Amino acid sequence: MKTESIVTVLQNKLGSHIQASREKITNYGNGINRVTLWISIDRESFHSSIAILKTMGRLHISTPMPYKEYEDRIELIYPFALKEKDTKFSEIMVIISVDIPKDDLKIRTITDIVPGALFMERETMEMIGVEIEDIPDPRRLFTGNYLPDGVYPLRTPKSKESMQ
Amino acid sequence: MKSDITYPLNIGPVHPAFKEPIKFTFRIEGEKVVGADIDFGYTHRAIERIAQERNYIQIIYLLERVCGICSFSHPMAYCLAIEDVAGIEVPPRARYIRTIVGELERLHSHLLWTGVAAHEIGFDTLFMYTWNIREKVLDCLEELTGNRINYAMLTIGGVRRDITADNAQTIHQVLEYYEELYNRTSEILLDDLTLRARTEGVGILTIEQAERLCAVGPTARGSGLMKDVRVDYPVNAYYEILWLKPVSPRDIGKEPIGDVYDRMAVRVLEIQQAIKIIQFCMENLPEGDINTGSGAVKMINALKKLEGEGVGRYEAPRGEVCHYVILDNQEHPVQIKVKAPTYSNGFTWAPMLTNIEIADIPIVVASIDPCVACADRMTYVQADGSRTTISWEELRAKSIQKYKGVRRQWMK
Repeated sequence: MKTESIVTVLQNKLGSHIQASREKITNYGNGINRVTLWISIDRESFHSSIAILKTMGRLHISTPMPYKEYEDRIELIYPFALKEKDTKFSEIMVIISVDIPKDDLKIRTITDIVPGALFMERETMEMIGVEIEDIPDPRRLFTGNYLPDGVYPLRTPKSKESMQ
Repeated sequence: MKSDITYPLNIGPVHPAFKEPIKFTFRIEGEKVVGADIDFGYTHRAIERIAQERNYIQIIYLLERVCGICSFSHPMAYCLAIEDVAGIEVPPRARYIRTIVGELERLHSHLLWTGVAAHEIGFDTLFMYTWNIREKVLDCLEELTGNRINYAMLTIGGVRRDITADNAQTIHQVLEYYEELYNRTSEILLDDLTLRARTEGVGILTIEQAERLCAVGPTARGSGLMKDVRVDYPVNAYYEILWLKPVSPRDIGKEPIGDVYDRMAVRVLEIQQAIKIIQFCMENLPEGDINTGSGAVKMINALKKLEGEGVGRYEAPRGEVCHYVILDNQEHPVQIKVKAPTYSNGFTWAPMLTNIEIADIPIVVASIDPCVACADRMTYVQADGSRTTISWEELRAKSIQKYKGVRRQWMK
């Protein structure tokens, strides 16, 4: 699958909601490539973009959610593996990133499109403190209920003080 | 029992039947399971948080401790992720050695699983047989790497130890040993009537469910979902093995329905596949360097000048391991996310465990080859029943104090 076609389809359907994209292709000879595509999408169109990606092939969530913290916002990163057909080395990584403001840490669930993302979303809620709207199961995944409200163990930089 | 009785059945988090802590809550009607809920987090060690305070080389050895059995797979995915950010090219010989050690790990992991599965259904003769023959591959790994597990074989940009002529001879002997035993072992595992009676039609995960729930590894392949990082994504030397394809129950002439038998068949066939992959790599092992030649200090200095994100994916014996790293001009990654196969497959337990008999719970739970330590990665420590929280330094001091006490007691 060509990365340009993924970006074009998203741009045709979502227009300027697609904020940026870049790709990285590493060639291994004999036409074998390792392809990673990064796409930044605004929060409004994030859910629709995942639904569109799902129509392009087998969409698999690959890791729990990494994130980047800035002064006024958090960038959530959704690492997907997308495979169009069952041919060798055709799976590409599609990394969707979406910015959410720190005074409104909310994002819509994607479990209605990719049900396998539930553990990832539950972990994101307890570890980073982002509210996942309409999540079918909002319970904590790893931490206990004795953890005080407002303590998010994986919030960096240096959340050590809050942990102690 | 009266079939109209509905009651909850709680097992865990700590239970004599479990090797690792996890909590299951079943809803039972008569003797049939009609609902299952799983609760993780009882062996969480905050490895991702600790990794934010270790340098790039120390993290390799930290990640070996995510899981004892997959102690090659996690550092492998991490090294691939860092090499992806830094654009480091791994020498061909190192790629082949990585593949050989990875497949030896798969061999011992699948043999371990067959033993566990046999034990769960009460077939302890088979358990002893498979664990006995597994010793040979562990001895081989010990000779190659110095350890039965936690091999410390990997480094960023290659491997730390070469395969010598003596090692090569041992690997050939081990492969011959398993080739001779394969027919007998597969015959017991795939044709034995008791095993078939306990595993066929039990714990079904359909291909649609496997795809929706993002199942990985033998759990996905047992349902007919042809998903294998080794052939979906170029990793190590796998992309040079042209005949390599994902294993399926179709290879033994059976259409997959996603029951425990199918998952077992995939693992048995992967034992044979691992032998062939190692043979291929030994025959085609290129000459040359085994790493980039950068020492640890030089590597850390180069990496701390980098900014960027990288993905490392690897097919562990239990399925896809994926690590995501973010570098930001520091001596350690600002973020590292670890995904173990059980993190994906744990979700598939719910459909598998529904509508089975209570007696089948152990084998269905075992059928995804769960590793709770892998999936769990700070919880608060409760001292003397009170909810006191303690700092990392205090926790470390308490661990050392406890260990010294045990030593004093037993080393007199």
